[in-house]
Amino acid sequence: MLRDIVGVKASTLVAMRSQFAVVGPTLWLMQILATSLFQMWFFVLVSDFAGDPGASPGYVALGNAVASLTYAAIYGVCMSSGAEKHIGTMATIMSTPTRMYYVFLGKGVYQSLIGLFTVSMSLLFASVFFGVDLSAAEPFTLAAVLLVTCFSMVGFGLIIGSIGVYLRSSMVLGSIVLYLGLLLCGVNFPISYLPDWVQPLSYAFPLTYGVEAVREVAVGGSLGDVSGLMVTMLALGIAAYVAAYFLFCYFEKLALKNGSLDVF
Amino acid sequence: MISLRAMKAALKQQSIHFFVDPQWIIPSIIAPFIFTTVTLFLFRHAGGDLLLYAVLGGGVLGMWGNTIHSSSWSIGYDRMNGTLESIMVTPAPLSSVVFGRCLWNAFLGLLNALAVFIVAHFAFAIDVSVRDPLGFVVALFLTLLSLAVLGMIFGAFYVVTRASSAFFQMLEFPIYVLSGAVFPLVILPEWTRPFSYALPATWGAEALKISAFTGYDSLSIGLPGALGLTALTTIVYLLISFQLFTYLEKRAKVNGTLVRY
Repeated sequence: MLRDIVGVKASTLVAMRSQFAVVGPTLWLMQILATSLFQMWFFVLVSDFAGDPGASPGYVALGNAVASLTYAAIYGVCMSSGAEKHIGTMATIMSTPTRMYYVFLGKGVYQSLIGLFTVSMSLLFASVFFGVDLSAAEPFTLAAVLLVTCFSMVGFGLIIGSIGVYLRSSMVLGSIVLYLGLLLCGVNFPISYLPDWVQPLSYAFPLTYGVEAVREVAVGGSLGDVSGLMVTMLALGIAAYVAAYFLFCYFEKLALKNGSLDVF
Repeated sequence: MISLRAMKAALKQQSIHFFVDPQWIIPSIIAPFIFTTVTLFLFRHAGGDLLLYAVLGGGVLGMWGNTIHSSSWSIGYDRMNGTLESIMVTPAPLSSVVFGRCLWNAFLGLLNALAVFIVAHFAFAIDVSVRDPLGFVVALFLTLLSLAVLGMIFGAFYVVTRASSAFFQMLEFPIYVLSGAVFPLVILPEWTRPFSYALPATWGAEALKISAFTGYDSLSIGLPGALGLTALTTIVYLLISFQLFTYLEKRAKVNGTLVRY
């Protein structure tokens, strides 16, 4: 147990140190902030032009601010396994006494920090540039909702990342999931706009509950008001972490058996 | 300046790369595809020309998304695979090799645009018929060419630094906004217009819309004007890209950073 905790901590530190190995801090910061700002602006302009009262620019800006978590919490996490293959370090990770799951969990911890930073900045952008009123939101409740959303989404990212251990890369799956949230999770328009057969799929994504909870908190909802959504997210998150553990074990064995661990 | 033989060989090589592992097209096309679908949901109550407007814009986004990923990465992959030095010691100019690859990537972008049209037609029942089919085809190919040339410029920077990917990924969304592909440029702030006008994608999207809709000409330049400006910006970017390749190739050799990944 202690060895696993040390493994998670070490992996988090390695992820932090290697962050700026290729891209410098300034460019990295510009990249995450510009992506979040321009994505939000794009959809705000589209909603402004479309003039749909059910999806006003404020609604869209707030949804995109929360969805900015996806870049780190899901894409960043699920890309970790692909990135290790990419640079040829997957076999080295496997030779350590720490189980692969804990190594990637450590990377997930680091991505959570980035995700929370990104979503905080995105909410600031939504408020300053797109007129989203967050004055009624209780800071503690908002922070709690974002933390639980992030926790749950990282678990989801780990599930997808585990598949990357076996596949040649997790980039393809990660790219799909990264943007699917914009369509399915009530980010840009209410889920009721989707065809009936697609709507149940929306509720499999933790982001759906996170977006809904933040919308409630933004209009003055208390912790009690969003507790149902938070419990659902927590339950989904815990289930995702457990599933990811078993999936990592399974795909690790499969990759070893088929010799696909270093195939990129 | 341009070696047609090298271009043809590079185009063929890039196509082989694609057919060996076609899954790599997904990361390039997924963002514009989802963006267009979201746009169609937001425009769903409007109907008529507005939906086709979104589809055409989505097609341009699709082509752009593919270009920025694939073309800018065309040198990035060589850097990653350790083949950049080998390419640079061949007698063929590097710019011709990259241009050939970009042309293939632009062609794939066309397939992406086609996928957007098919989904729009079958899933959203949008009538995708255009007013001037000939003008539309000319506009489409000119837009593709312009995007390929823009991809060359991005590719040139990869010769010098491996950090280029972050910079160009950062440009993906601003260009979605500035090109005004799925909304009119007039709803953008005044100060952004010069940036929009400097982009071939803006004029390409305008030419596509003029050829598709009856009476559409938001910038009062007509189809010949839009096509002319697409061609003009393409030529300007092509000349810039050749200069860039000459300068950046030299710089990379002096700095000794070619094999650094």
